[in-house]
Amino acid sequence: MPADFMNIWLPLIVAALVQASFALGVSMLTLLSSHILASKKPERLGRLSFFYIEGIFMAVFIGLAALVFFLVQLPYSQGAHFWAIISGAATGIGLMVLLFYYSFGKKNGTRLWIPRASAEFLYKRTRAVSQPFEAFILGVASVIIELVFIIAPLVIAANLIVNLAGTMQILAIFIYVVIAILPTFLLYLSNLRRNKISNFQLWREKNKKFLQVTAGFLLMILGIYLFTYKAIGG
Amino acid sequence: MAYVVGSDKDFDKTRLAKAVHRSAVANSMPTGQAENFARYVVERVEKWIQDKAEITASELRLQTVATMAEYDSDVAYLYENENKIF
Repeated sequence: MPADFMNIWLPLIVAALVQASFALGVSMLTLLSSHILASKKPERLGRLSFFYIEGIFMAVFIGLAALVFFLVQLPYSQGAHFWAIISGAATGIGLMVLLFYYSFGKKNGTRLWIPRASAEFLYKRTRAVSQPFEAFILGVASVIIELVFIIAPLVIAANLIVNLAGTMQILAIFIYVVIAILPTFLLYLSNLRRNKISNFQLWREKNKKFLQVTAGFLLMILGIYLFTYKAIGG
Repeated sequence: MAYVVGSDKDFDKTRLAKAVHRSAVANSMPTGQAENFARYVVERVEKWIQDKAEITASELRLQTVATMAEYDSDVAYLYENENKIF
């Protein structure tokens, strides 16, 4: 197996999968879709959802590219100390995901860690979306709000991508973003086919513990793996 | 007319019909079917309310969900969980 795969591509794909398992983007698209379908102009579903996903895509793509640019300039970004800090933070954030990401209890549905007052505000904003630009901004906002968790896989991915050559960096950023937005994109396709939103939501509710444990453990394992490979081994 | 404690208003069947209709259409139910569904649910809830002077908003919601679930459990689930998505 090529060294690049174990050193760069495997942890990069795992980091993207961790981000893909975070649920705010999907949750906001669920609410946005149900709001549009119940409105007087359900035909706007495809357009507004597309702009919402484009907002997420652009936010992650630009955010990751900016991090790569920043880390290229940073001396010692590939040093053992820097990798130790990143992997330690990833393990800590993984633990936070395990403990706090979903609010548990049968009556809580798929409620997330977001404080209720902020969630209420987001509900209002999501229901008020009527223009493509608003949907785009909502997509960007969903990324910014989750930055407290997303920052770990993003920084890991950026610091891995720094090791690649020019065009491969763009390809790696693209692959990361595509994997990260895959669940949101699948929901978008499912809604376009007019599948029942309740089926998707029910599946998420039934599997929320699994999703939470997967994201948390993956991030912790990724942190430990990088610590071993890059901080101690490198 | 029953007074709904928690919403500080009398029971409003038009409002309930709209909410039920919204959930049904949001879950990809055709508009005509959603209208019949909303009418059926509101009739049943009205019957349940008839002999009550006062109900809580939570009781009304539970009764609505239970009635909806008899006809379409998917829409009932969406109605019940619309504020618990994130």
